[in-house]
Formats: sequence, structure tokens, C-alpha cells
Amino acid sequence: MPRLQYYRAKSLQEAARMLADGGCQAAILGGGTDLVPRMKRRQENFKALIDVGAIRQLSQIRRAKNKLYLGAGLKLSFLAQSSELSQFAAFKQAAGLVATPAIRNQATLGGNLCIPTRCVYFDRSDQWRESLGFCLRHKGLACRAAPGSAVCLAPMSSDLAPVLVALGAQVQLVSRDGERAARLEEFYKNDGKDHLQKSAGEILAWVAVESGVFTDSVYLKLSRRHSFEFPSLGVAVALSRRKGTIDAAKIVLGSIAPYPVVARESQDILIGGKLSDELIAKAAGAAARQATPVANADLSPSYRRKMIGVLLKKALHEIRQAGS
Amino acid sequence: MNFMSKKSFRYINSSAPKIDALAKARGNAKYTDDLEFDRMLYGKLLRSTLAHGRIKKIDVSKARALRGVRAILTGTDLPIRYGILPVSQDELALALGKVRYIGEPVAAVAATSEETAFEALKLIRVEYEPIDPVLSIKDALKSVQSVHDEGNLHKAVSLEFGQTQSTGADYSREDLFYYEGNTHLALEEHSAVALWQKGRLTLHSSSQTPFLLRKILAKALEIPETSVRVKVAAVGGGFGGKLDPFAHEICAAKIAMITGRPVKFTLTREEVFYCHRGRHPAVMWIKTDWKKDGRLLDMHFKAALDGGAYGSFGVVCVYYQGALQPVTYKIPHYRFESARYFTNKPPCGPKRGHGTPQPRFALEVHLDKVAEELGQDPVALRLKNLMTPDSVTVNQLKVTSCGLNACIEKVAEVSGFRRKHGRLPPGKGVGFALGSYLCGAAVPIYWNDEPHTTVRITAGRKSGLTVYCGATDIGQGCDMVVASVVAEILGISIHRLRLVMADTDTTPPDLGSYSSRVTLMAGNAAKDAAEKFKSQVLAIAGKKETSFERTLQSALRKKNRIESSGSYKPPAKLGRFKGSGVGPSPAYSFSACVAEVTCDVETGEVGVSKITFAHDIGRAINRLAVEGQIEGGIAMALGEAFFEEQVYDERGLHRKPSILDYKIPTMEDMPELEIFLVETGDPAGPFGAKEVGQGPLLPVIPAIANAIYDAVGVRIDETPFTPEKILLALERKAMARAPRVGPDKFPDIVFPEPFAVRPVSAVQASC
Ligand SMILES: Cc1cc2nc3c(=O)[nH]c(=O)nc-3n(C[C@H](O)[C@H](O)[C@H](O)COP(=O)(O)OP(=O)(O)OC[C@H]3O[C@@H](n4cnc5c(N)ncnc54)[C@H](O)[C@@H]3O)c2cc1C
Repeated sequence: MPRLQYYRAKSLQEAARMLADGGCQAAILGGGTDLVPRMKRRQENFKALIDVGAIRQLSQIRRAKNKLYLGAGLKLSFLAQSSELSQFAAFKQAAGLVATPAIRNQATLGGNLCIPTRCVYFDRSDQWRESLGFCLRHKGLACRAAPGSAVCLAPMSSDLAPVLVALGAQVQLVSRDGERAARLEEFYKNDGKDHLQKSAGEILAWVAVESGVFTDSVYLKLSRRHSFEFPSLGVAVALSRRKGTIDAAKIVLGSIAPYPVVARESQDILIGGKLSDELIAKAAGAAARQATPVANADLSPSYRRKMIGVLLKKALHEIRQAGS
Repeated sequence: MNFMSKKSFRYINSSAPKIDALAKARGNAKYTDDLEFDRMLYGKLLRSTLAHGRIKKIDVSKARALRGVRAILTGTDLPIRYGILPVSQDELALALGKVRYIGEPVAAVAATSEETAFEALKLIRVEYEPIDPVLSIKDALKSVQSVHDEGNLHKAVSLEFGQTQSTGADYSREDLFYYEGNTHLALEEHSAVALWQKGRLTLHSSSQTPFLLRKILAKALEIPETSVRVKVAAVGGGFGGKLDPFAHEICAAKIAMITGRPVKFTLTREEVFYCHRGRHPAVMWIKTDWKKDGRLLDMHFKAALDGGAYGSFGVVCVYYQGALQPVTYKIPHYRFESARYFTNKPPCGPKRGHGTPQPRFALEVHLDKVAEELGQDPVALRLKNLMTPDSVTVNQLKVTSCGLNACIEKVAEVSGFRRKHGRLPPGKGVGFALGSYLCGAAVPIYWNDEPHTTVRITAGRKSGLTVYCGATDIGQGCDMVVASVVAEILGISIHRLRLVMADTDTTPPDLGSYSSRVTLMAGNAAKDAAEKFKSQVLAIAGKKETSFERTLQSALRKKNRIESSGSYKPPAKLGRFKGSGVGPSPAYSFSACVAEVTCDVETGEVGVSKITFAHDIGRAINRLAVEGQIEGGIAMALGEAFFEEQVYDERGLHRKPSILDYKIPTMEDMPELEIFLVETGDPAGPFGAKEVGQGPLLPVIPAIANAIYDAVGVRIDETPFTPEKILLALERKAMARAPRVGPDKFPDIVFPEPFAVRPVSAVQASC
């Protein structure tokens, strides 16, 4: 591990100031479960880390009116078990599916939403990437997974992002110069090299979710084994049903593009209908058309693409079963 | 012989926790990387970024000038070739002239900090002239390029056993299989620390073979063997991956000799993937002839191994492809051909099951197909051709105890196999398979007439009771075996013993932790030493006191030092033909497995819900440790069955040298396990004990493949059984094509004329 300076901020304002002072040499440290391994691999070489773990505000859940404000420092193991979140079933599920129990005890909500995209051609040692030839993301000229692509297509691989986008979450971003709110859906963009709509000086302070909007939510994660795994595909579904009729639907696909992909066509198919076998099949069929994965993650792109529809179908069946 | 006598034991057959368990669970155990010495240097290896190429120039001047760098080595500093087998002396610590795989060490750096050593690596410039890489058996057969000057064929064998070829077969079948290469993935990455003091080298290394390593270090460093001491600290798993001598060990030693300072090399996970020596990828072809009633008449087996860039244990692996099929089944006529090719990839070598999991997979799936076509129950078909105790196999291996029958009955009954097979609802299935493994190779790697292992016990008035044994505990539990045997014979508490293990200066020689030899061989030597010690103590004391402890004290009042030594040498092998050294063992373990699976036909995912397993252990020295080994063997088998692939891209670059991407099962992926020990009491084993370190992996993989077929009617004739392959096979099935994924052609290999081995005479065969 390269040498670095470590700061423990006492307040959000202090952290924001430190971050601004550090420029691009400084980074926020949440649980460090993603950042520290990257620094060990020398994919990042920050000279200073600003730990936000001591900021009380960031590890609290506040309720105001119909909104729940989740501090960015909340640990995933806590979120997976919190009774305050029982109406956001998919969110709890997703938090419980991240990595391993030990990592979940350390990993934070903010860190999870901000982890860099992942790619089998990039998350490797220098010597490995030199053997291959460097890629778009670092030193090189071409994307190794999709040589024709002008941008890095490394997928956003957070389990929580697709669920929170589906639940319509908002994030609060704080910097030395002020703060702003943004819809999480708009927090990501289609560039794997730099996929967050956020400046280096901004800290994700909390996430707000509105209660009572959706009646059902499910998250399904595709991976080869049951633990210690990033998703190869994540399918998040949130529905609002009144007397069986769907009046709102949100379907979001994770780990398939640099940003969480909203499966609009499938949403439109569902809205106004009931969860019949035919409707489910139709929505599932449409979902695969929403994304074109490339060979940058575990499992082949064609398999991952095929599984979009399969998982969506399973998710909708699950909702139907639970509701009946 | 009645090994299951009523006499009750204190340690043997108990479930006492291993003596090192607490220290390991608490994190107190010291592994090699935990060792620190004053003024220690940190070493790193620069590795080739090219699979095949000539080294034109290495410029180390910038690296040498970096502050903190103390030594840099390149190939010319270590020009002596070595290798683990006497017949394969083809390796160099650092490449000279040519690189043969991506990850091959080219230069070594030692510096005052690890960071500096990393920096220095980046400053070394190597100029290569690329050569077309040879990346598959196909390439090896047709490429004009040679990995080594001698050509790409490393070894080919062709043997024929038994009565003349059968006639009168009612049915015959042939099949093709592929077994993907995979690696050990021991949790502890390799590490070595070298010290050079007063003209002597001490190397602490996470090695499975300290005594062989001593020999090879002496050769590579051109110093006498008496000037080398190898010591092994706690080892975090080996599985065969720490048997070969490695570049970092030799470079650490060399740099210590040059600088006079302690030098540590600890490999990264990625480097461990390049060291490899894991499972050979194998294409296999099998053909059998049968009588309608299910009697096996003839077997012909062929294997083609993709060996990687160097010899390693490859020659032995070539023979193991055919050695153990006849140990589970009586085969009247058996022919086997096998060949290994050099390719520009990290060298393959021995991994748990050493060259036998591939043929075992092929054989047991093949038998499942035969059973179906003959309209027989897969269990019944095997029972008709089953090995029996006290037999000689067609390839001249002497089988002593054999509990296969009991193993089969146990798993078939408990799992309800006969009731379930072919009758479970769609998507659910059961599969059955057998396996066998040796309990120590009867022939040493370097031929000599010495015992394979010796154990010494000493006692002194003030120095306590000490057991010296050269065997290496790599996590498999041999410290506990040796201690249990000694404590049992002497009738004392295990905690009274001080163990000194795996240190070439202080412990008597042991060949190493490989071929599942340690429980049987070191166990026998320990028993011999303890029995001699006990009778000496009695003789000196003159009379038996109320406890051995008291007798010992009284003896020590008369003589201030009591010492005994016991050793073990396996019985001579039967076979006299070339290649007969691979396969013979004092005894064989046997196992039977039933796997129960659920397949999701939409995702192609397979979940193993239960494994029912029975293992003929001869006698469990420690039940907890035996069950632990079986559980571990099953876990590793699940990894090979579903996930593991040591695979390379078109440049020869390892596709996923990371412990996150190279997948093995986690605790959450483990099915319910029901394990039974069958205790046959083998005359060759200490207290009747046989092996458990490797055998249990073998039947699990084919049992799963057979269960998948039972569940969804598709054959996945190659590992790993990925969801994508299952979907592909299901698609083929839906289109009325052969419902199978697997190889469709055996490589065009011209094998040598078979060497016909004459049957052993009746005299020799009588056991
Ligand atoms: C073996 C392994 C398996 C994993 N599996 C999964 C998985 O299945 N699913 C999954 O989603 N993730 C997985 N991860 C990634 C990671 O552990 C989690 O995403 C975790 O939630 C990250 O949180 P953290 O607090 O540890 O982030 P850190 O490592 O501390 O930070 C991650 C990134 O976010 C930035 N950051 C952190 N907090 C803030 C903030 N408040 N504001 C702005 N930027 C911030 C950091 O600067 C850094 O760039 C895995 C990691 C490992 C090592």
C-alpha cells in the first residue's frame, strides 16, 4: 500500500473543506472496502483519504413527513436488517446481497452508490494490463471489451443503485461551495471512466426515499455463487398496484451499462395492466431490448442479455405470488 | 487381523480437535510471511508480459540506481537448470534467452522496502523479440514453433494389460470428454524468507516438500546440500501447488547469499496463478466393450494433456491418466494411451487427485451412459464389475483392503438413490459415482533405498518428550496424526509432546506432503518409534509403574536421555515395466458419492442440494480431521465442477488471475453433506488407516454431471458445468439434436505402439 495521509473529519463541512483543499489528490473514505483494494492495486493513487465515518449526521436515519433520509455512512449490514425500511423490501434484499457479511459490516451506503465501474480488463494489475495493452480508461486508446466503442463501457456494479433508482431516490450532495439535491437516476451517466454526475469536491451526504409510492418491490441479482460476488446483472422492480391493476412501475437494470438502465418499454407495457402470465411475458420480452451488454464482466454478454428477461419474469412472478 | 478390536483408544478414532486448531483460529499461528528479521530486504519478481519470445536485452541500470535497491538478478546469475522430477530438469529461476509464458520470472529485485522493490520493477526495461505462441494441443501439433528445442511433445505412453483383446462383446460405446484446467487456490500465497549465516543457507518457505527443496536449492545455487536448511512455518494450504521448487525461493536464497541480509519474497495472488502447477486441461476418449448382462470385457482410454511451458510433475501425470481406473473395476483387458504437450502457458502439475480426477470424471460419466443403454441401474452395473479386497488389478497394482461395496450400499441406501434415480420431478436429479486413490506412492521421486520417512522420539530429564518428524503440515493435519499415534502408543496426554516438524536440520528426512502418503507412512514410522521408545523405557525402568509417565520418570532417573527412532518403507511394487512406478501404493482408499441437484431450465443454474458420501478410510486416526478433509474435498470438487477455469486469451494471458474472478464455492454454496466413514482396517496402515486428503474429490464431479442428466436429460461432458453450457445443451435437446455439450474430436495424436505388459505370475500375485 502506497504511503498516504489520513484525516478523520468531524463534520460534513470540515470534510468538504478538506476535500476541496486536497483537489484531485484526495478522496472520501467510507468503509474503504472498494477504495482500499483499488489503491493496493495502484489503480488509484490518492495522497490523502478523508474518513467520514465519525460524522454523526451521516450514520443516522431521519424521518420527515413521508420521506426517509438515510445517511451515506450507514452500514449495509444495518440497512439489510433495519425495521424502519420494511416497506422497501427490495432495498433491504439488495443490501443483504452485497459482497460478504464481513464487507457489509464495513461498507457504507454512500460508498456503494459511488463505487467506480468495474471491468474484467481494467480491474487488474499493471503488469497484466501491460501484457494485454492498456485500455481507454488508462493510458490506452481502445476499449478492450468493445474495440469499436468511443467510451468506456465498464458497468456500474452497485447492487443498491438500481434498487434506489427504481424507488425514485434522491441524493443530497455537499461541497465546500454549497449543496444540491439530485435524482439518483440522473446521478449516473454513460461513461464508464467517469460515470458519476458529480464533481470531485462533492460528498454524497444522504439518500432520500419517499414512502407509500410503491406497494411492491423486488431485487434479483445474477451471479455465479451466493456470496462474495458482484452482480453480473441486477434487476430491480418497483410497482404500485391498486386492486391488482398496476398504476406505477419502475424497472431498472444494473451491471449492464455504466449507469442503471431504466427499462421504459417494459414499464409502459405493465402500467394499466394486471400481472397476468401474458403481460409478464411481454414485459420480460421487451426488457432484453433495453440493453446491450459487452464482454466486460463475468458470464457472456449473450447470456447476461438473455437473463434480463428471465430475471424480470421471475421478479414479477414473485410479486404476483407475494400479493396473492 | 482385527483392527477393530474392542480395545478402546484415547486418541485414535476420536474427534479431538487438532493440536494447531486453536492457534490458527485465533490468528496466532505464524506463517512464512509473518516472519520478520532485522535488516530484512523485500524481493519482487519481474515477470514476462509475452507468452513466447526471445529476450534481446534487459536493462536494469535505472532500477539499480534507485535508492534502496540492494540487488538485482537476471537469468545469467542462476544458469543451472532444475526441476522436481529427475527426468524434467528444464526450469530456470529466471528466464535465460527465451520466455515461455506470460508471468514467467525474468528478473528479481530486492530492496529495503516493498514499495521500493515495486518501483524498481517498473524501471527495468526488457526488449523481446516475439515468437508465435503455442497455446493449445492443436497449436502444439501443427505449429512450426517449439516451446522447447526438443519439440512440443513432452511425453507419450501406450500400455496394454491383461488377456488378449476381448471377443464376443454384445455392446460397446465410446465417448469424448474434456476437463478444464484449474488451479489450487490455497488461501496462503507462497512466501519464502532466506538467511545466509556463516556460509549456510536457511530458507523458510511455505513448501510441501522441504527435503526435496533442499536438494534442488543446493543444485541451483551450486552449494552442498549440507549447507542448506529448509524450514516450514505454518502453511495455509497446498493441494499440490507448493510441491515444486519456485523462482522466488531460489532468488531469495541467491540474494541472501550476495547481500548477507535476510530476504523475503511473498507472492501476490496474481503471481500464484502464474506459478500454477495445477490441474492439466485434458481431452479424453474412452471406449468399453460389454456383455449384455453388464459384464465389462475391455476398456481403452486415451488422454491428451495440455502441459504448459515446463515439465513439472507432467510425466507422472501422463501415467496417472490411466493408472487408477482398474483399481475400482475389474477390467479383463485394458489399453491406455496418454500424451502431454508443451504450450506457452504457466506449467501444469499436481493438484489434489494428481492426474486422476480427469479420467475419473470421464469413466464415471461414461459408465452412467452405458448403464442407461444396457437398461441397468448405474449402481448395479458397477457392483457387477467391482474391485474386491486382496486383488491384483489388471495393471498390476496390489489392492489390500477395499470397502467399496460397503461405501456403495451406504450412500445408495441413505440417499434413496435407487428409489429416486429416473423418478424425481423434472428439474431434479440424482447422480452416482465412485473413486479411489493411493495412500502414498510406493516409489520415491528420486530413487534410493532409504526409508520414506523416519520419526525420532527423545526424552531427557529436563528436556521433556520430543517427537521429531520431517512431515509437513500444510493444513491437512499430519502434526495431529503423528502426535495422536505417539500419545496413543505411549498412553500419555497429547499435550505432553513437543513436536518438531519439517526442518531439514533437526528432523529426520521425510519425502514430503504429496501422494496422500503422510498418514500412512509417517503414521507407521511414528508408531514404530513409539513402540520402540516404550519398550526401551520399560527395559530401563525395570518395572511398570502405575502410568507410563511414572515409568518414564523412573527410567530417566537411571538414564538421563532416552531415544528411539522408527521408520517406514513401502512394500516393493509388483510391476516391472516402464511406467510401473506410477500407481503402486501400500493401500488404496475408496469412496462413493451420490449428488442431488436441482436445475433451473430458464437460467441454466444448478444447485446441489445434497451430497451423500462414504469413504473407506481404513481407520480414522481422527474422525473430525477425516470429516474435515472430506468436506474440503467436496468443496474443491464443487469448484471444479461449476466454476474453476485456468484459462488464457489469444495472447496466452491468464483471463482472471484474481481470487474474486476465479471462482470457488463459498460457505453459502455448500450443500447439505452427509458423510460416512467405512473402516476396513488396512494391514498396511497405522492402526489400519488409509488416506483421505485427495480421494474424496474424485467421485463428486462425475456424480454431479450424472445428476444433471437425471434432472434435465442433458450431458455436460466437459467441466465446468456452467449455466451457459446447460442452456446450450437444453437448446440442442429442444431442437432434437444431441443433447450434449462437450468435445467432438480427439486430437490427431499418433501414439507409440502399445507396450504389452505380461500378466503377473500367480506366485507374485498372491498377497
Ligand atoms: C470482494 C468484494 C465483493 C464486493 N461485492 C459487491 C457486491 O456484490 N455488490 C456491490 O454493490 N458492491 C460490492 N463490492 C464493492 C463494495 O464493497 C461495496 O460497494 C461497498 O458498499 C462500498 O462501500 P464503502 O463504504 O466500503 O466504499 P469505499 O471503498 O470507502 O468507497 C468507494 C468509493 O466511493 C467514494 N465514496 C465513499 N463514500 C462517499 C461519499 N459519502 N461521498 C462521495 N464519495 C464517496 C470513495 O471515494 C470511493 O471512490 C464488493 C467489494 C469487494 C472487495
